[in-house]
Amino acid sequence: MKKLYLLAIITALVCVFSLYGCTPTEGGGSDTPAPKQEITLTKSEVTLVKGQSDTVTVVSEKKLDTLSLKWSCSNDNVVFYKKEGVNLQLKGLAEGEAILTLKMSGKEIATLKVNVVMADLTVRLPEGKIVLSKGSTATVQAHSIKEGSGDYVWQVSCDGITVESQGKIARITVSDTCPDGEYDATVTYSGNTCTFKIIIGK
Amino acid sequence: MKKNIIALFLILAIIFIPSVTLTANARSVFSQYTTARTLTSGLNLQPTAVLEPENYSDIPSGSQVQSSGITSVLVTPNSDMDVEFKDKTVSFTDLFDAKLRRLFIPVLRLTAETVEPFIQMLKNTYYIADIVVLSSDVKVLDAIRKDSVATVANSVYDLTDVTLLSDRYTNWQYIAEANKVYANTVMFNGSEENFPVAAEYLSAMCKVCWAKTNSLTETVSAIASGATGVVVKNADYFKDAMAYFSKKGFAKAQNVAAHRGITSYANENSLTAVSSAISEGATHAEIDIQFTHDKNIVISHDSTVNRTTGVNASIEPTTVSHLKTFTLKDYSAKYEEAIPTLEEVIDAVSDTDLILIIELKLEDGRTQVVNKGAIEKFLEIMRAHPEMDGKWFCITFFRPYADKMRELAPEISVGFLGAGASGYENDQGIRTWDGEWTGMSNISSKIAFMHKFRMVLDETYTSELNTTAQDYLARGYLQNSWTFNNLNHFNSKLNIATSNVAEQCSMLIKEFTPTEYQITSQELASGKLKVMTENYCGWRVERTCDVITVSKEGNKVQILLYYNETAGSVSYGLYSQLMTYEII
Repeated sequence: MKKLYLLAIITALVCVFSLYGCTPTEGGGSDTPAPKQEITLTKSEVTLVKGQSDTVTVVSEKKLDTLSLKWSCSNDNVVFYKKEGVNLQLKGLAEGEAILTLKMSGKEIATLKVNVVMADLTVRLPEGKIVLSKGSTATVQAHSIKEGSGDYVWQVSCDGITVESQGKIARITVSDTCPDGEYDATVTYSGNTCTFKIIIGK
Repeated sequence: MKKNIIALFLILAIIFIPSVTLTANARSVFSQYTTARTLTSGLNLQPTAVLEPENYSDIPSGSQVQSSGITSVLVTPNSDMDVEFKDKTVSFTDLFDAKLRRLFIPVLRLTAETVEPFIQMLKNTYYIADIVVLSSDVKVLDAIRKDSVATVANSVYDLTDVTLLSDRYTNWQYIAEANKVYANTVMFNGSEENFPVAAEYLSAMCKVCWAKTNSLTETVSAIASGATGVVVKNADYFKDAMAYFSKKGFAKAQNVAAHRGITSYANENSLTAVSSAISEGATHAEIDIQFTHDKNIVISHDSTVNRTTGVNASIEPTTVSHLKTFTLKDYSAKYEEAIPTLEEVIDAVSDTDLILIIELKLEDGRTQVVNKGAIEKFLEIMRAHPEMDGKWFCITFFRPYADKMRELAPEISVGFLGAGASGYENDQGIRTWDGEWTGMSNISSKIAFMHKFRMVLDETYTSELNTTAQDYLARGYLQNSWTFNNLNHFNSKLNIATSNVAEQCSMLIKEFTPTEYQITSQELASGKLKVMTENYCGWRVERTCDVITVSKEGNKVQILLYYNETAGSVSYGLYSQLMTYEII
């Protein structure tokens, strides 16, 4: 009878320890706990200026089957998103908020909050770039959402590019000898600065 | 006896058959039309001169007809269709036969009481077809529109009793009302302070704008403000006014549309192309729309993305999110731009004064796209953006879209993308107009066609347009045209020039914006004055302008300014509005 009690206690202890080793996510019945697959995002919240882009990456200790990653968005009008492997490219489309949800094999594993805000100062170039050929001229205009004070100040990082300006309007002239390349340009107004690129050579 | 009966039949046949034929023709085609009259002047496009005579004897006759410059005569018949002048009462048909026929285009002011008698009169007078009606009552104009027999050349919406506001877009309501009843012309009081705002905006939206004036100075002012027609009580007002516009140029800056946006340094139909149209100072941007599989609207000229992205895919069976994965290729390495949606374009332009000319490409006129709700979706998007009200209109090659737009959005102008007076129907070989476009080689049949389909003109440019523009204008059709690769449109009688090089207009004068209204006696005597001006892109430049004195009283002088510059290989001149200066 004592042996029977002892066997019952040992059996009960084995069951308790077996159950203790289980985790809700991995299911029961395993003798050794499976390692947890941690999947996170490089950012949990992104604030984008309308028209600007950013990238968020899915991070995992293990190699991910990227085909099983699926993104969805609560408001397609606010943000444009594009999955490229573990990377998620984002572009602000309109002022507002959107929640992006990441699912793997149908199971939700992460969310990303995206706020799109209006920039105080922008240049009317949606991609923040202007592509010009040698000897050409183009007009660009800055757009400030607030009436500020002082002058618009335009600058460019290349001697071969002339910027004449009149307030928010700038005339960009590329000399015939300007080398092909990508140059930074800025406009500053009322304490705000907007940077854009002038790309020479199609 | 038998011979006599046969002869009688022959005589009767000779008398009646042509009449029956003419009756049939007259209702569908203006077989006889009156040539619009112009005076010698430097204006590229002269306003139509409309005389509203108080006396029967005021109507020019004989040698005065040509020298008056008057094209149309406005009269107000009573319900018996009699016209009561101060010096005479005469039936309209007698007036027509005696004074107007083949000399002037009759313009009849109608009311709720006179519209039915007028329609009856038209039905009984097959030969009066080239005629314009005018009313301040939209129900009257609608009755004309609805009556299939009462074909008129055009209708004028009389709004001379409204007070015009300084906000450009408050005028949209008038255009919308006029479009619903297919009145291509709107008439305002030319003495209204904000008439120039209305005149500029109406032309940008394809509407002919008449100014009713009461003096020579008002007539000069209206013409200099961009009126495309003037209604005068005295024929001399028009003749004398035109004498002040002897230098070659425009009374108001020509509208310039960037074709598919600015394409010299951006991908066609891209967001950058549209944004650049704003920066470069284009007045309009022309874009093309297509319908996607998930029932959205994107911007693309072609129904496939093969040419623009290098990926072989049709737009109609593809979703927006899939299309967004393709990159526009011309500047792809640099811009990384995708095909924009209509929503994105609206977002880029809605806070500006750029007007969108939206071409309904939509699978090149395939009826099934209409049946899938493409036009409904397009209108749903546009109507979800009230900030775009009055900032867009449509153009198309294709009848299914024109018909659908007329049904669902009669307030929107739709331009017929014809291919010149003797051109072809469309560039896709789809004969959607039931062959009715044929025979449009003359003005009368083209006006009948435009009237039937309730469209406005937007045709490929041929030199013929310069000889026909005044005739179309007199009947309510401004001539919009495409597509220019240089600045030759500044030499043409156009309203909106759609250009592949709109950015070349960027630094040309668009407006005179003096900061002070004082002139010295010496400057007045020399006929030269330095004033601040504004270019198409908004850049301000001080220019030395010619001074044209219109009137002088005490130390006040009313002047027009004129500036001429060379644009490419063409000479481009512009007049200012009539301005009052103090002589110091």
